[in-house]
Amino acid sequence: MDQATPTLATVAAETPEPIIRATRVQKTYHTGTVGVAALRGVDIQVGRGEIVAIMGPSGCGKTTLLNCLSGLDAADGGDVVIEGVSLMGMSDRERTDYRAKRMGFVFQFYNLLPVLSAVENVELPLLVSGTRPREARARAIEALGQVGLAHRAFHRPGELSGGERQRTTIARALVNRPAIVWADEPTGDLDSETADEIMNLLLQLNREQNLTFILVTHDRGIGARCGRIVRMRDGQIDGAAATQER
Amino acid sequence: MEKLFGLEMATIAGCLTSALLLVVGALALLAWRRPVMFKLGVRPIPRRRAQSTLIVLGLMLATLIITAAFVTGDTLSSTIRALALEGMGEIDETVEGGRGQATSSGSAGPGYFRIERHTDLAEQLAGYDLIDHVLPAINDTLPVVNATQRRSLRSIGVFGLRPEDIEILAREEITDAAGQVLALEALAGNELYLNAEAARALSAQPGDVLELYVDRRPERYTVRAIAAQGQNARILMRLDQAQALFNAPGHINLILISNQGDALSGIAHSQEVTTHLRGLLSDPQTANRIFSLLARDPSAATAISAAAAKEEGNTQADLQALVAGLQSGALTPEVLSLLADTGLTDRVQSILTDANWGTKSLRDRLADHFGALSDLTVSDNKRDLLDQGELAASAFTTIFIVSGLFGIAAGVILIFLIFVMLAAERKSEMGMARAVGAQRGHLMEMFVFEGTAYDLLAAAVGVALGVGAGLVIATTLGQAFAGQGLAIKPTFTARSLLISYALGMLVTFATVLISAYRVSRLNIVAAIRDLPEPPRAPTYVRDVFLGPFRQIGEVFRLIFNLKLLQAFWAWVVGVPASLWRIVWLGFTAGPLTLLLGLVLFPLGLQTTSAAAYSIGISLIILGGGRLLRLILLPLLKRWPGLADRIAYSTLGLAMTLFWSLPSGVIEERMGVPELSGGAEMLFISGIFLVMGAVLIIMYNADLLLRGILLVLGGSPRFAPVLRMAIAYPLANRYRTGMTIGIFAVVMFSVIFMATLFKVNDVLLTDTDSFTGGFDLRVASSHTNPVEDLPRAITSQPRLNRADYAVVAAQYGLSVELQQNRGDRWAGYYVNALDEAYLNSLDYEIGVKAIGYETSEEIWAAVRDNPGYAVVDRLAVPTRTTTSIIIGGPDFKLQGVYLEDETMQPITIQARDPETRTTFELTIIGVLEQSALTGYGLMASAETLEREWPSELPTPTYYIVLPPDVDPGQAGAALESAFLKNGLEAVDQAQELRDAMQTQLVFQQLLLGFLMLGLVVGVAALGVISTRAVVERRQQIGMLRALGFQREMISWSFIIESAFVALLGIGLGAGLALIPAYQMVTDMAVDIPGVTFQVPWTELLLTSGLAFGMTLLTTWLPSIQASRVTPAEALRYE
Repeated sequence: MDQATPTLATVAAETPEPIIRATRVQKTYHTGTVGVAALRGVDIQVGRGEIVAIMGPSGCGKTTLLNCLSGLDAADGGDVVIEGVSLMGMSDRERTDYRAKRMGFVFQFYNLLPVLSAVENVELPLLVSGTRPREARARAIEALGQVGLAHRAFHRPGELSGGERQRTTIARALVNRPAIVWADEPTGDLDSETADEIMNLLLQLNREQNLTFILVTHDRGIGARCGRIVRMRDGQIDGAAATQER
Repeated sequence: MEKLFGLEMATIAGCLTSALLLVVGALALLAWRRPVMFKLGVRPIPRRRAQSTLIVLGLMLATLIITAAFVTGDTLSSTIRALALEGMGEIDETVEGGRGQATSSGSAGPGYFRIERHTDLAEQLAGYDLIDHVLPAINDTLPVVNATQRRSLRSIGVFGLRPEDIEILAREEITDAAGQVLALEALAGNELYLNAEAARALSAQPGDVLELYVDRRPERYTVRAIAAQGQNARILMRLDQAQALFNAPGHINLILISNQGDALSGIAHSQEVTTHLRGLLSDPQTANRIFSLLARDPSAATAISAAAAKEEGNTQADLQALVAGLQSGALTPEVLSLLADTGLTDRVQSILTDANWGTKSLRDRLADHFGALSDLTVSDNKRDLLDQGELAASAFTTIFIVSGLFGIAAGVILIFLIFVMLAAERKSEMGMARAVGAQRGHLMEMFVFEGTAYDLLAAAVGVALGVGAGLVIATTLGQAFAGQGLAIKPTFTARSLLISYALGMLVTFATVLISAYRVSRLNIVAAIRDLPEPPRAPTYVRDVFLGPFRQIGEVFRLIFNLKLLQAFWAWVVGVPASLWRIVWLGFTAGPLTLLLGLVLFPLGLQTTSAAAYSIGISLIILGGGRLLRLILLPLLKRWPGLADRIAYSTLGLAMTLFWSLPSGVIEERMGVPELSGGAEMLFISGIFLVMGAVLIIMYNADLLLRGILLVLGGSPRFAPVLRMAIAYPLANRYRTGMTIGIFAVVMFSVIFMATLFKVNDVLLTDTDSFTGGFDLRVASSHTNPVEDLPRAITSQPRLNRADYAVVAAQYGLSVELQQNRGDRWAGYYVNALDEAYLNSLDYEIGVKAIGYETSEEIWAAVRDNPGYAVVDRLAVPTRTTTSIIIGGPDFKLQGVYLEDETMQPITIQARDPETRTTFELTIIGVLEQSALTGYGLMASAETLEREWPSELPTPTYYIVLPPDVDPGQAGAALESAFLKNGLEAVDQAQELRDAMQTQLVFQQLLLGFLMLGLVVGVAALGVISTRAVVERRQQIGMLRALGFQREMISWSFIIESAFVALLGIGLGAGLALIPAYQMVTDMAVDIPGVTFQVPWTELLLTSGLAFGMTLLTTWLPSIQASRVTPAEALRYE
């Protein structure tokens, strides 16, 4: 494990510094002549080591918010500051580089590359960020070990179960020791038992490695296990429901 | 063009058009009955213009290749037709002096007859409607000298006509460049007209004085005017002038017949008119004698019938008609006409001799009767010329179609790929359609509608572009042959275009139908969710075998329920389909493929068919491989993929090995007879070699990937891009294999041909081995020859004898040879060489008779021992067999092979075909090389002077020049000095280079045509890349989320295509060199000096072009891929 990564104990001793600070984030999608406002001036702040669930009804803008915060999509207005650096001021190239080095992603349908084995999928972010292949392979095996999948390292996604695929995705998200892991419906495609396993794993990683997790989910049970729930409605943070601390 | 592959073009056009109309009609009916499926099918076409354009371009390539081949055939057919019409004008048949009978009288030469024969014939034909004109004429040749320009021609045609008959000639031959008619009555006694070719060859202009040599005496004439056209050099004058010139007053040597109708339509009556004329001119009693001799022994008809099967065109039709006539037992006018056709009866006599029919005396009697049948022979020359034109056009079209087979095969694979891609794109739509109740058949219909719409459009585009390509080919051919006086004018017929359209459309439609069936078998859930297709449920053999019984049961059930229409449908479609499933399973699982191979293999041996034999073995390998897989699957189920890898690698390896073995290696050990095959073997070997190699690569792709990454994956920035670029194509075995296959088959054909063409370099660089070191070939007029050239040169004050180091004579004689008594006499040549020739000859002897150590000893023996001879390589068999049989002489020597080093002297009988005077020749060696002058046996002139019954013909001289003498100048000096003898000197090396140049153009053209197939490969990669952007949208989004920069995405796409293209290019080129090496090695046996050379220029050029085009085609999709925004790509599943 990286010695510089703060442990849960050290975070608890400090005031949680905001790792994400978003102000008045706006995003509108244009479908032909019709414009659909997906985010209407969202303000949100997440502290380092937090595990936050973003919840809300379908079409409320959860995934859009996650995309804009993670730099996968460019916001139309407002500002997103990650680790003190504004994403809005970054070029596409800089944002991509930043993602490669400081972020990890977990998606509902795993988005593993079917033509690569589990370990090849996991080592890919390392290779992208310039790690030498031999070192990348060693770290990928280690990451798979962390999620309990070292024995399936050389299987392709098609040969893995849903839970194993999602574990592989998590290993891929962790392998470059990111500051933030973004997870969009990470348990959406899994049965309840496997979903529980995956959630336990995320909480464990959050606890042990002080990783910041931002989860988008529909599942109240999952949301309830997160440190904080941010509810959204019609492209805004739902003021009535407010942001709950667990 | 009237025939192709032996089938009437009209029949081909009729069948294809009917099939086309049937398909389109059936689809129109289906569209009317199911408008929803029709709309679903065709709706996307106008919406995706760029993709639709790419698909149309991909689909049209097969049609383009077919059309270009047909346009080439049409052009050649029309060119030869134009030649026939221009040369003969309105003349449809001619009547000439026949069979060497003494038709001449008085002072006129052989072949001349009294003009009264014309008058008699004209009177006999007076009431015969099918003939317009019966005209007397003289057509003869003589040497000519243009005294004004000092140019000569060894032989020029002289045509003499009555002034009132001139209109029978083509208009271009009787008008000058200004359009003025060349009136014969305007000629003074010593004036004449020249046609365009004669004027060109003699550099003549109006007013020039020509000396025409008859009996070595010059007659001076003035050129009055020159005709605008004319392909063969010809003088035109009045009949009375020609009679005076040839000293034949009151005589002619030709009667011209013009049928009713114009120059072209008159041919329709040619057969009937010829029959009528031959009836009038033949002696009925002699005809009866011939007929009864042939008809009373049925073996004559049997032998002629067997020989007819190997002939083509009119000869075949005439031989078959003769057989029918003989079998009917009645001497009809048509049969009499055939018996009076000298060309045909010569062939018949040769067939009967070959078949050893009757006794020798009987055959001699038959020959005498044929000679006495008529003193005048009727020739339907124009019909024959047009027939030859048709055969040539058909041959060229066949060459281009066979060459295009690689492109067409690649095109079919591309069509398949395109439709699999379209299916993938519409997967969820199709899944939904199935979910709401659409049957598989409905999906097929939807696809077939879409495919046919593209197909109809693509075939039209293909025809249009094919016409363009064909015109380019024809124009290039025209330029190549322009130097040989052949004017090729590009042209095409509507019928050819119709055939091309229908053929292209139907080939594509069949592929669309198969792909539609394949894609309709989708998993509904996987399709809706756009997930990979799950593995198919296993096919239970028991279910398949019970299928027909179940279907029959179903038929009875429906009948019992009075659902008669459904019962009928189940019987007509259901039962055959269930039976087909059994057959299909048999082939795909292996046993039937193996069985078919086991049937074809011995059949090929029995019929000595290389194609059947080698396809049989290939099917045995294929079937065996599939069976091996079936056996291994349960044994190796713990190791997924291992059974496939072992089975397919073994299959691929065996296939590649079999087709890579030098031809004859297995066959010789097995004692297999020599197999014969044609150009189709190139196609067959290419397809199977590529198939084998692609299977090996695709089933061992992981090893390849690992190897590449080991070598190139060290760079941290490059590694992820390279990994993605190679992982995708290697994971999609089917698609990648197909694309590699497309590139490989095309490259195979291009590089194979280029390697063979490289052999020509030997001819260009080592001309001595072909010319024997003789710089000039010199011939003079047969009517006024230079009797003794060496002495004549010495006596010429304007010539320096020292400039002509060796002047040797060669007398060419047609002979018949027989190795063993009772063997048939086979036609061949003897080249009688004088002492100077034999002394300076430095041809190597490949096989030497025992007792001779060196080539020099052999030549000395030939020189010193009359009756000794050396044979050239063409008449000697070889132990190695080549796939493409080039042909050879009628005579084949037994008892020696080209591969031997020594031989026993072989004594053979030779005879003069005319007088049958027989003499012995002892062969003591086989020439090492096939020289230009070396076709035939080589014996000393002394041998022939002793044995030949008549005087030896005018020799051809071969001259060796000192190194510092220019052949062009030395030849020109000779021509000038012996102008009156019509002497022509040919620079042999230059002649060889000129011939090679024309051949080179043709070769380049053929290579260009083959390279059309590369467009298919490039289009395939374009299609795949475009599709990949859509298919991998989410994966691209994920890669971008993981940190792949835009250019990394772009590069991974480009490298992916480049990787596939390079694999295909390398594989095809590498594989092509294997059979090419064997072929060149085989050729080297015949043509020493020929060595195998890799055609680097063509290889690099073709590879570079294909690779460059691939990068260009992939560039656009790669840019599209790089612009995929991660958030959008990842938003939906």
